[in-house]
Amino acid sequence: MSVLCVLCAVLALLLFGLSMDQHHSQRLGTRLSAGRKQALRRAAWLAVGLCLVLAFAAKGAVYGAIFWLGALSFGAALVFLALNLAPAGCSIKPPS
Amino acid sequence: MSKGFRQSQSFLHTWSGLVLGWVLFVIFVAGTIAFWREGLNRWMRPELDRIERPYAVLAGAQRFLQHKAPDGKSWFIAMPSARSAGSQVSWQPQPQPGQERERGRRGRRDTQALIGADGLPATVRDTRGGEFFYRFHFDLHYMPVIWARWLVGLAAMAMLVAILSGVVTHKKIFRDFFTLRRGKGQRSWLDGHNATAVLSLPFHLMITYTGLVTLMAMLMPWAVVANYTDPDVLFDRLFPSVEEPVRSGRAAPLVDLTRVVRDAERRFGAPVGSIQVREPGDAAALVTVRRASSSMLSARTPSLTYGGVDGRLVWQSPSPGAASQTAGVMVGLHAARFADDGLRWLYFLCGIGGSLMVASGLVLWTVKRREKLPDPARPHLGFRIVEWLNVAVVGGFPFAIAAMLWANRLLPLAMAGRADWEVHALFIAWCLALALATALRAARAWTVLLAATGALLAALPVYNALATARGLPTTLAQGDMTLAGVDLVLLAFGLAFLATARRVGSHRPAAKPRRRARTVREAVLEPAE
Repeated sequence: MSVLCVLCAVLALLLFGLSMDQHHSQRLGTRLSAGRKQALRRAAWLAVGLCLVLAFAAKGAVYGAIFWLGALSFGAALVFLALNLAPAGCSIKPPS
Repeated sequence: MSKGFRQSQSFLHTWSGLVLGWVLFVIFVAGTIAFWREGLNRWMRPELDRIERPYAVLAGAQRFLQHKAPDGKSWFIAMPSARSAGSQVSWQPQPQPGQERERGRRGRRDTQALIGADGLPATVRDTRGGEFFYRFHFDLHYMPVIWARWLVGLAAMAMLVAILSGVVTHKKIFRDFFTLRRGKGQRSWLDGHNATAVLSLPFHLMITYTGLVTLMAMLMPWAVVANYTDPDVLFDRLFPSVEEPVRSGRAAPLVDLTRVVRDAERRFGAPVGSIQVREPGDAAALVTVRRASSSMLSARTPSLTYGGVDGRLVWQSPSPGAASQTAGVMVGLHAARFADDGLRWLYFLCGIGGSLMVASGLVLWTVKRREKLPDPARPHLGFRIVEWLNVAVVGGFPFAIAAMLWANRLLPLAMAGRADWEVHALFIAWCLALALATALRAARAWTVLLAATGALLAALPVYNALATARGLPTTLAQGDMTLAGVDLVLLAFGLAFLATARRVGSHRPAAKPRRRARTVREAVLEPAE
């Protein structure tokens, strides 16, 4: 359950990361449309909520909130490193 | 108006961060390490076996104290567990008539012992273990504790100011959440600083605020002074305990402590942290058992008191009031004694993030000003002092810690005052780092220190594998993840320091012409504060 919660947090932050113009075009090779951006953001918030539920289920009411914030921070750090330091899958498109 | 506000916040952020930044860095690093103090307690005493049967060790501790101080004033036993380095026991002899009550902790080495996993007193190297980092985190060293705590309290307040003003100053931290523009000098440093700050912002706020709460009675004593004239009364309110027993003079054997502990564990529904026996060997003896702080969020743990002869429950601590409970929970959140391994790792990683945030902020101060210097080859004194201190603290403190860990391994076991010399080794190495920082060019000093730190840290697990019985191959084979974890983390940090040293060493400041030829994309990203 805790592992699932952390995975969920990573997923949430990854979706947030991919909803940013630059990272989206760099990683997925396509331009980000406004509708797509909104969909990604919504999915990300949903994952944040699911992560909270999982955290409470895994750690109980007292530690759940702490674990939730910890998991989100961890996810953020992981996604930050991955998006910025992993070799780019697609070449950076020069902005027009 | 908004611009003026942001500029004033920027000024506040820069200077509140810089002036106490070096102290903050040291506090952050020591505190981050202190999350693993139990692991380090074991790592720094490689003679000790892991505890497999805690109750047998407890029984051994009772036998030892029975023999050593059968009619002492009190005994204290830290409940052994698989996590702890043996079981620390201490005792207080009966005060001689006319003799003043001894004060202070330092003079009591002769009334302490460590019970090993076999239940017998263990002979181990004299070291302060992970406790050093824990105490250093708020007591510093070589200075009276009260000054140190004021300094740490001030630094924590500066930190809170810096975090809050930082959110205003670096206005784009949320929009640029995942942004790191690499190889762009100041821009990259700023991105790194912002990233380490914002990625674990909840942690930074929590740890700084709760850190202040741990010192609140000292920093803001007025509420206490206004309501309690007698500090003893306050202490009793905060930490209720059973009345001191009066020695009856009738000898009576002490109850079996393992039986009492088992009963307490049943009542708590949680493990026991410590056992205190008062007037052992007397008919009036009392045994007070405290719940383990690893088992609950609040650091103010409840306790139970049993009759020392019949083992019947005679007193239990009342449930704490709301204010006391709140303070206890905040202290608990700060120290993370409740945390299991997963949560502890999250705390540790966030702590590293915080250390990097402070370090990058300090470096950023010089990066930002270097370009504006009239003659970069010969900066003015203020700039040079900041640069020296940056190298000596950000580069030097990890180096000093590495030196201390080596001292723990290499100092002769029979050395007098060995535990103190381990700590002296840390400060000697630190002074060396300061000397290096003033003697060499900054870039060179960074490279040398980072590389030396990396080499020292990475070599420790190798030394352990070759020279001690608890190297990585053995601990991994035994599934002793605490010790293996310390070695692996040291190795990882050693390699990270070496890699950083390489980056710094091969770094050539960007030549001027390239700067002007900025690409369009870069220009679009207006430099935020």
